[in-house]
Amino acid sequence: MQGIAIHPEQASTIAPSVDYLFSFLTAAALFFTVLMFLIIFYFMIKYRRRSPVDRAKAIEGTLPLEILWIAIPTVIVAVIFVWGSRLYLRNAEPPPGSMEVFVTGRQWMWKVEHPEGQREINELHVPVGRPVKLTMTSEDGIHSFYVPAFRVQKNVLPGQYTSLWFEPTKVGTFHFFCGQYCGAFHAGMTGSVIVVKPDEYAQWLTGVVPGETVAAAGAPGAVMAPAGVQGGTTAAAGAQGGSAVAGEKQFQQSGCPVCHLDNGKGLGPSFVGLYGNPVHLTNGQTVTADDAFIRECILTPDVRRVAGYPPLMASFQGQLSDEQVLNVIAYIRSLGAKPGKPPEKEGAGVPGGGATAPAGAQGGTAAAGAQGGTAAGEKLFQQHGCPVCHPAAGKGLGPSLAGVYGHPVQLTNGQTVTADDAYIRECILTPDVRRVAGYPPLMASFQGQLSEEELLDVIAYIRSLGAGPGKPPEKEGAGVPGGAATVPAGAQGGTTAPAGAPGGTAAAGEKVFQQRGCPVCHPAAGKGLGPSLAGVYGHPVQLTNGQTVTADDAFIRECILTPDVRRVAGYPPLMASFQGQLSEEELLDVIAYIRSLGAEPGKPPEKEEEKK
Amino acid sequence: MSAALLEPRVLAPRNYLNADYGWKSWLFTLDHKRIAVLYLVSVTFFFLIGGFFAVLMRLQLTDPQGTLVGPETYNKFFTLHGLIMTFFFMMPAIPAVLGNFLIPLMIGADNVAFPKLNLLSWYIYILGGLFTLNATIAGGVDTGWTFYTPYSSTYPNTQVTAVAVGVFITGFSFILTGLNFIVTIHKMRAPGLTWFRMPLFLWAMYATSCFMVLCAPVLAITIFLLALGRLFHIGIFSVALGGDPLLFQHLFWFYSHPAIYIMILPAMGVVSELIACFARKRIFGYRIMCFSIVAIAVLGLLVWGYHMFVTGQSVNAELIFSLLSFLVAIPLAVMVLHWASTLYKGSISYEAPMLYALGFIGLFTIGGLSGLFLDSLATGVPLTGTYFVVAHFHYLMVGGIVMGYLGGLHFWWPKISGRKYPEGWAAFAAAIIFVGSNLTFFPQFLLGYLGMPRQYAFYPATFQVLNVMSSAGATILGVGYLVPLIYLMWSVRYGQVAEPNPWGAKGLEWQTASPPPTENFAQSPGVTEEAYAYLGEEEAGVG
Repeated sequence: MQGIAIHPEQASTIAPSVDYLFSFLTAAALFFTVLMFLIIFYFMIKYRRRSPVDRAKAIEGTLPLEILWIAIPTVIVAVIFVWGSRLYLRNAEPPPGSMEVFVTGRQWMWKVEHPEGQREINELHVPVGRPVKLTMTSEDGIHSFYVPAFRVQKNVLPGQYTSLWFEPTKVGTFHFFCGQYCGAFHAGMTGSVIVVKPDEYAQWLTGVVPGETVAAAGAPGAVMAPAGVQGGTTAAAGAQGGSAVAGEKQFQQSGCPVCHLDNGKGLGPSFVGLYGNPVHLTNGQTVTADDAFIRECILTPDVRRVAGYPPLMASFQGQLSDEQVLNVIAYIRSLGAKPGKPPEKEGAGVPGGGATAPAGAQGGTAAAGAQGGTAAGEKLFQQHGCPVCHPAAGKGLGPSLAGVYGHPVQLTNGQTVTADDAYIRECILTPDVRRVAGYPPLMASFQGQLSEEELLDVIAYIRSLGAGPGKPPEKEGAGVPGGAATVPAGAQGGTTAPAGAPGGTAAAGEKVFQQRGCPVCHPAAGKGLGPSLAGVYGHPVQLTNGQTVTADDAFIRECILTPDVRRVAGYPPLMASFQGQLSEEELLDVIAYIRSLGAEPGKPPEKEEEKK
Repeated sequence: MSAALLEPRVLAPRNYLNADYGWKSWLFTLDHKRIAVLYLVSVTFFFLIGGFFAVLMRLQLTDPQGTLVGPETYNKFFTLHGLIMTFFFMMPAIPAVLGNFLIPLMIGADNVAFPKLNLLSWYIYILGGLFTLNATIAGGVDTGWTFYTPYSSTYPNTQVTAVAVGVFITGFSFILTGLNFIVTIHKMRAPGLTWFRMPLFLWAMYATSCFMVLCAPVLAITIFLLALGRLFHIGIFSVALGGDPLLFQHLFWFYSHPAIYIMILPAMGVVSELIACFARKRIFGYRIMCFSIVAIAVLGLLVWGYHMFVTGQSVNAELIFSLLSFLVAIPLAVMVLHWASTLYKGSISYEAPMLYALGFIGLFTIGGLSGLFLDSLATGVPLTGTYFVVAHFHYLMVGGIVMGYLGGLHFWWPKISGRKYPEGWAAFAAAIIFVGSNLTFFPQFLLGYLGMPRQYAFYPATFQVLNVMSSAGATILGVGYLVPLIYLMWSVRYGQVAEPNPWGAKGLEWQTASPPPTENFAQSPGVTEEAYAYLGEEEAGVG
């Protein structure tokens, strides 16, 4: 804006002293550069070949001169070292009485929390003339908090706290940057330090000031939320009411209810009556569902998982702000306050007993097969939630495993493979490499989740299921794209075929759509794990970030390739990217197919879904 | 002289280039000179690829919004630029091309100690390069050339493992080449060629080789651990699994910081040869120069924490690393002073190699002095991770290594190709590269001082003017690199035929034909005089 500045703004107590050293260094560097250049140019001209000058007594080195040349740089370097180090040491520790602010970095934003509870994102309000100490940590990789105008920088590390301090001397707005490369939007991980007068700062803290971002984020609620948390779980419902209401809205918008059904039969556990009760984990431990654990489940769902449910949940890290997470926790807490029936405990109890009914039937055959480890395998199968997606019979999110073992299975790439030990192991550890046709790529890798022994047990159990009455339902399941189960597609097929010019590709797209298992989540009508695609094309769609977008070719392509960037409101972030899975041609076909679905009599059910 | 010019090609005596024909004679050659030519072609290829990414980066940065490509793509550009330039151009350029060609010639030997190992090194290098190129085509990598964890070990969905394997493989090429050179210099020197009679280029190559053998395994192990972590979820560098992400930085810079000195040492060796020859003077303070080279190599090993001033390491560690990094500056300064004093009472002529050498001294002085800003804790901390570092580094790498490499290539081009390059064009290119380097990288000093962080795909508009200046300079620099590429290729066929010693230079490599026969010397030479035994003016007419 202001063209080229000669030096960056000086806005902290240490900036002038650093600049003083910087200027000295510049002067010294300039002096020696110019001196060297002059000497060299002088010699170059004077001693050019055939110039008539006296070259007698040329020297090849004299000890005194060489000692002098080693001594001069040594002295200069020593001066700079002592100067720079003393300056650095003097500013290493924050002065007593510094105001402390917490900073958390993560891809790709900065979260700031003031001790009074005020929070802000990518902005840091501080009062002028008062030392501020930042205590910093990272939620993911290494970042670096860098404020050029203050001449301070420190890395922000995961699992550790680092700190830096400064004392602003000027009112104004100053850039801060992430100084350590941290991934795709590293360049966007920037913000502003807003230095204000002390009384303005005090006012800002109360949240009365019409501060830009904070007001938008609902300052009063945000300030209340942590207070409520610290107040203990028994805090009056009134105090938490505001955030629980916001939390419920967020809960709906992020699509949580799609998996977390109230009746406990969803893909994830129900939250009714959960809060404050013990929960069984897949690793055999038990934990109490408190604020910390719920927060952990939202941000890092794969670390400690509730037994009996599959590892489908995606991390909401970076998707929800701190306030939004707190609100959702408040909402879940409010669900737990209902008359204390803890269905979760029963759900989690699955591995022990109850819901093993269908598996029990197969367990019998396993025992008959005298396969070592099948009982243990069955227990693991239950504990890790496998039956949720792989039902005893019929079609789930994934194929049923009854009668699969030893039979051929059709893959999404058109090949056929026999479901032997090696292939089942591969499916468990690297499920995304060769996938069964007709099912979506939802399964997470169990690499590192199961020990080798446990893995063998689970395989033994699946083998025992295959020994059952030798009808291979899997083959039929895999046959989906070609024939039988095209019922829903058939309905749509009618409209696609005569749709005209793009008809050919739409037909090919439908085949791909079936083969990749899209209809499993995107049903022909109604609400699945993902939105139905009927009548969607060309209509506006509401997103989780509150924006609205038209479902055109570009947006559909984006949803298929980078589904996590802009997501449709009301649905959970389950969809995997198909980047590298589909060729450009297949992608165009699928988009053409979805376009053809949108050609149906223009009622946009999608829009209605969103409004709910 | 003119008789030599008109000598028809058919009458050219048997030499290493015309000793045999066909692709097999090149791909299965055990002749160090032919292997050097293989390297010459390969590093030029990688230089063009790395340069291509630099062009794209500078294009992107002309616009603060960074609208040319998205940030993910830009991140791949700077990663691949850094990776390819560092591991596939700068590290092998002088050692593998000029070192391979010259070490046996300079010590009066007929080949390196282990010719088959030498060929194997090239194949390993090519294999590593192909891995990396393949990964580039398959989607690239976006970790930055430093592969910092935990980002590299956890987050990116790019070809990190494939590239890591490529670098890992290439590391072995450096280790084997280093081993080969160490043994060659120890065991195969001509009678009379004592250590203190060796040209400084050999000293530099020896120090470089020792470093390669000592440190490249650390890099290989580090990269290997990184790949293990990614493939098998072993938590060496991952906090979530109990590891330490900073450990990676310690290990990585233990190799890569000295690597920067070590990459520049061979260039300093080359420049010493050029200055002595074109000033017709023995290098001033020859022994001090030898000790300086060794001191740089030894001190360089102890300075890695200099890159970690803002990671929160202990204050004591920071002081020690700061002090050590200052100490390295002393031998570097001494070498610059010695080159300048070599000119004193010399008989200086200004052929293109000398222009490159003088350009090297200029750019190296600026680059080296700017290092003091980073060595000093108080100023180093706010400058860490900014364009100041980029500028400092490129003054040394582009201004140092590339200038030294091109100077050496021109100097020994008659020996390598048997032809002379067009002098006017070469002087023009040297000037363009010197000017282009300054125009490209000096604005980056200012950018860094103003606080622009590196590796940004887009940036605040305040930084635009300087970025556009830098990009404009890069255009000039790019032209400067293309000109020698064209005329050197042209000269292979159309250049004047070179006599055995066109510069009137000392050194055993000039005592045999240009180009040398496969066995290098008709009869084993002996050495009876010091290095650079130039007699001054009376000999000056030879050139």
